[in-house]
Amino acid sequence: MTPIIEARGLSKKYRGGKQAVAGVDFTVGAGRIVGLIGRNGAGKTTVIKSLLGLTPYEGYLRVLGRNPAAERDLLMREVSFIADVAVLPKWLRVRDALSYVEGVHPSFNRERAEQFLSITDVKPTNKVRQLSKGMVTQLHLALVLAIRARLLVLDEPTLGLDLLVRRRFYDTLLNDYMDDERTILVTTHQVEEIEHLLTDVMFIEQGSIALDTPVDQIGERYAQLIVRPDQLAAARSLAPFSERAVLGRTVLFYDGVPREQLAPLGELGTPSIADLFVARMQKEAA
Amino acid sequence: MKGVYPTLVRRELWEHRWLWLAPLVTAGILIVMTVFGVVMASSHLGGFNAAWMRRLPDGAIGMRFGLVGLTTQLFSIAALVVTFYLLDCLYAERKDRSILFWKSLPVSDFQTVLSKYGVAMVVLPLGTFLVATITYPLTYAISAVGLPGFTQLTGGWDSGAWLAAEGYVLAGLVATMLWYAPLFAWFMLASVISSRSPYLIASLPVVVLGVCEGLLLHSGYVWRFAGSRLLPVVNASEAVMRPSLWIGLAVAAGMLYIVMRLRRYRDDT
Repeated sequence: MTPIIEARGLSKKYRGGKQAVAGVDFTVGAGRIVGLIGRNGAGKTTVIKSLLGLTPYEGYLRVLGRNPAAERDLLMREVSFIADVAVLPKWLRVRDALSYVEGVHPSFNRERAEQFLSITDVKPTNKVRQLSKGMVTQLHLALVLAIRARLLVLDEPTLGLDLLVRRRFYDTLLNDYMDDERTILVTTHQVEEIEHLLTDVMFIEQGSIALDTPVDQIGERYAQLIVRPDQLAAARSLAPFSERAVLGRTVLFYDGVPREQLAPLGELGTPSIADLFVARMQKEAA
Repeated sequence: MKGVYPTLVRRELWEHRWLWLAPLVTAGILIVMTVFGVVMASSHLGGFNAAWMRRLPDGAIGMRFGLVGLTTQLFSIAALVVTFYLLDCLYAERKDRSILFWKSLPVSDFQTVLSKYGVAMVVLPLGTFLVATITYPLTYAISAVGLPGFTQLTGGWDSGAWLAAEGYVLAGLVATMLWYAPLFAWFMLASVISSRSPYLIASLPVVVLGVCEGLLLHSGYVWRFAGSRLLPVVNASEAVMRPSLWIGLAVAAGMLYIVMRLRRYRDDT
């Protein structure tokens, strides 16, 4: 089966010479929920803009078998995109937003969007400027859910929203959008909040993919070991790539060290995505 | 109305409400002024007197003058709002980042640019023409009812003359829009290029060129050229014979192509 996204040697250099993306390769299959995680300026948004045909790039890129640079309009029939909350224009009325998408999108289901909005506080006569940030996100989500595109791209979708709205946003995505055929690519700063929903994770560091793995295989490569002070020297001798002190004990992170060697020294586990990300960042900074 | 282009046009009218409000409000003001004038004339002057009669033109020419006058007033307002509209239409979406929303839908840059240009070139002029077409018989009827002697004076309502006048105005309108085609494309180019002020981008090159020409060559070709491009067409059949009108259309097409390319490849959100 053809992959949903296929990138080979994807590069992007901005005017002024900044290399935002430096020749990355990756593939995303159908039915996956992929987290693209990196610090500010690591190249996340540039990768996403390239995938959506919003910015020129170099290299080979196919999304749903199409070349996004040349066929953005056709691609967007099957791809939905939510950037951060500020992109719906303030003058737009809610019912007009539905009419617009209904008019330009061949597979928009207006009833579905209205049904979703009816359980929110968003009124059809409201203008976007009258809505709170959370309500704007609900409106955008209603539009996207009524399209049911094959690929949904989310770039910091919950930026600036409170915890309750963020939680509801992701719950809705899982319950009303996701199935075996649909794919989500999401970037966020709040790794902890989405890591339980991801099937795959990609770390992007300075324009390069530093890690690309299914979440359920993280444990095959990475380990986290919690040790008491008396075992610390022994644990350190096994070359952890990062460590941090927690309540008198030390958490050490290992890459590719066999679990049999680590197990006798303390409490062995698999690091969370957030811990792994922070640990790798510290290693890079060191 | 369904379909991509009707939807895109409606979207423009939602965002820029003055595009359709301005001609309607102007027409409303003209009707109110007509009523006011009729009331003043009938109460203070007691209708038309013989001295006026000799000065008034005959029916057919009167109709033409009346309609042209009314249309000119409506179109002066429309020209003003359309200028602001064109300068804003590809700039505002980048400024508020809503371009990321518009581009997340299956609408090509070609369709977007064409719909905005079409609103300025076709939808607004035709809409304004329609408003004028309805307003003129209304003001005529108000005058006929309110002013004793008005009907005899103008020779009565002459439908044939009215249609001829409408045809004359429509021909002038079409020729004017063709003449304005490169000007409107230039405004859109300024709008898509600008990162701060599209008004400045649109006017500054002309001003700088005009001043430099005046200082260095002591001539005023640039000013005259800019002025001629701003003036509407009066004689349609003469205008379509000008080669500069057709060259202007080709230039407009070239500029629109650049506008599309820029909207597609420019990334400053």
